Amino acid sequence: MNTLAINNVTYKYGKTTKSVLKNVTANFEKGVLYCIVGKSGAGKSTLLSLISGLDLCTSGAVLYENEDLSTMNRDEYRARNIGVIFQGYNLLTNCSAVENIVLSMNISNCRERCPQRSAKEHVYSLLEKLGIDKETANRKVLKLSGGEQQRVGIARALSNNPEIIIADEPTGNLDGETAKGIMDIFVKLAHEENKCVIIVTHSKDVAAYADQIMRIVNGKLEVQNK
Amino acid sequence: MFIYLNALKNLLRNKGRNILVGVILLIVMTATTVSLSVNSMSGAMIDNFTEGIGVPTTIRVDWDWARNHMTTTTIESPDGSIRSSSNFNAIEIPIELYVAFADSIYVQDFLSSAMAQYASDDIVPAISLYQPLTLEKLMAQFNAQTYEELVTMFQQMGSDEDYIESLIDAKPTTVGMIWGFSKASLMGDFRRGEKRLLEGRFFEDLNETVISSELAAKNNIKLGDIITVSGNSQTHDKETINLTVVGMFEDIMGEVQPQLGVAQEITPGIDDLIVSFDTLYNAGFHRIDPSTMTYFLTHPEVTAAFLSEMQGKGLHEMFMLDYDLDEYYAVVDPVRDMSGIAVTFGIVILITGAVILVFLSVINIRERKYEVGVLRAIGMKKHQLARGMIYESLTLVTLCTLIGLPLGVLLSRPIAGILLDTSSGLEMAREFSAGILSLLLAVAVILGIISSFIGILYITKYEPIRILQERT
Repeated sequence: MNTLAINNVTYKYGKTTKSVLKNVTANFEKGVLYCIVGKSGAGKSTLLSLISGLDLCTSGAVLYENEDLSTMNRDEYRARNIGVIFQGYNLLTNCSAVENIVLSMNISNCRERCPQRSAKEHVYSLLEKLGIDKETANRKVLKLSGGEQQRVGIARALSNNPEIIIADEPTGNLDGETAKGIMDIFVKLAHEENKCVIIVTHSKDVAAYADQIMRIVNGKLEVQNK
Repeated sequence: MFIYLNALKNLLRNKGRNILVGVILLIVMTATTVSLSVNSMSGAMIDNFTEGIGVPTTIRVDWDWARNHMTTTTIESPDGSIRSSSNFNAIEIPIELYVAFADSIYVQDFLSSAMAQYASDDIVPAISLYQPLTLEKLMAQFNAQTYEELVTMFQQMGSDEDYIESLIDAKPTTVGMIWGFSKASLMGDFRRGEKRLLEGRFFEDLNETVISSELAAKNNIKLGDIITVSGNSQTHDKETINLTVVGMFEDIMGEVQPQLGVAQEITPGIDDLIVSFDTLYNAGFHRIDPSTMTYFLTHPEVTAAFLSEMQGKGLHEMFMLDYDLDEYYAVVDPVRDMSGIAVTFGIVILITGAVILVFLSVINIRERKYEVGVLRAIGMKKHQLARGMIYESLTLVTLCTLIGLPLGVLLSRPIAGILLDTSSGLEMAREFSAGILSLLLAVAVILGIISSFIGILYITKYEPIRILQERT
């Protein structure tokens, strides 16, 4: 069974006649790292918003474990089943890095599996793996660099141990070494922890890590042989 | 639980905005407390005042009714001329009925006085002996040929047949009048200095009497002596009562003639006895004439109900109630007006505060729009967000109520004193009650909901993707 399936999805913005995505069909499975590439404005972020349940397609269906997202509780879906890493980080600026992630864990209810104290420790440990020490983790997000914020965003997406990880330019603001480290984590998540990892990127270096590359051209999705 | 804890943390994270909202809420809660407390104290003052004096009410003839029910009689004079006179047969209210009217939930006090003629085998009058009358002597005195003519003459003078009977039925041992007062303060002549107590005291218990020093001297009566009296009807007053002399008065005004044009109150003479109203009432004399019968009602609004109750007990339709509310309203109206000002002020503050809160809420939600978008994007449900906003508002409102309420209570008394231009009566008035607390809590909840309302509307209206797209 496919973890995620996109069946003939078409998307138009508002009342426009032009479709951003046209009859897009794709399947996503666990244990695979996918990269979606394409020019700016091709519809990559739009596809990302559809598969993350932030928006609904104009026609067609996005299925999660054979269940149509349009009929599901998409808040639950975003909280428990997926982890989204946004291009603009989308962190709560008046909270610290730790607070951002602990709140996300509370929303997804994954804290019921671990009490208060160990949840914070879990977050510190997660951030440490991404190169953020405890002191930095306790700072307000606005006082972090772009790269640090990006890593906090990644940590937040991973904090609830989702089955599907969706990332929009996750290494955009990171230096080469850190970016490599992040990509190694994504590979490990896909191959060792059997997650379905979907990354939208412009970077060829990032695309090189993918098990499967999909290209959006003129609103259509093409699967490319690696 | 995490939603509430996050709400508390948000209050601290957005200090500037929340301090501003808090100040407004504090002003609103304090002003509302003051307003409600002043209103409560005013009401208590009015109730205390009403309870203190009541509404003085007496029974009088309804002259409209009387005019519509006059009887016209035609009289032929000896010289052959015909004259007509219109008469109105007034019905006497028996004293028992007056007393029965006082037994009412609407009556908080009853001032009464009455008088009757008394006779005694032990006492002779100080002025002149009573000269008994017979029917014949009376007819001759008024030059009436027949009894009916005599009755007509007396009716024209305003007296009835019963008066004629009282004249011819009087005992030869009639001495004077016996006056009964429910309170010594009713005796205006003592208050005005026309009489004064020389010895002893006024009556306090049943069957105690105060007599004039002249009567005492004439009859060699001392304080503590017991005198035996009865009503003066030969036919009806067979029983006697014993009265203990507890006081003696001096008639200072005496025979001094009053100025022309100065209204004179009829007061006890030197042959008269002064007793309590209950003593006279219980004596059961045949003819007791009520003098003052004033009912102090609990509230101006019960006058109609009281009249209805009296009519049920037998008050004739020719009578109505007479009450003077000018004194009452002279005190109550300014208090009510000031209370109204306080309440109006409170309402204005409340509405203004609510409008400002809505304004701030609109500004706040614009600032927090991105936060809403992010939280929705990572899976927070609309109702969880709404709850968080309500918790924030209610926490702030609760805090401001806890500070504003005691502050308002502290300020309400001095403010009430300034508004009412008095502190008299305020010390007895409670500024706070369970009713006010319930109202204040309701106001607090409404303000909390208002201040979070805009945010909640926003949450339910916009999808997170739109919010986040606006930012990028």
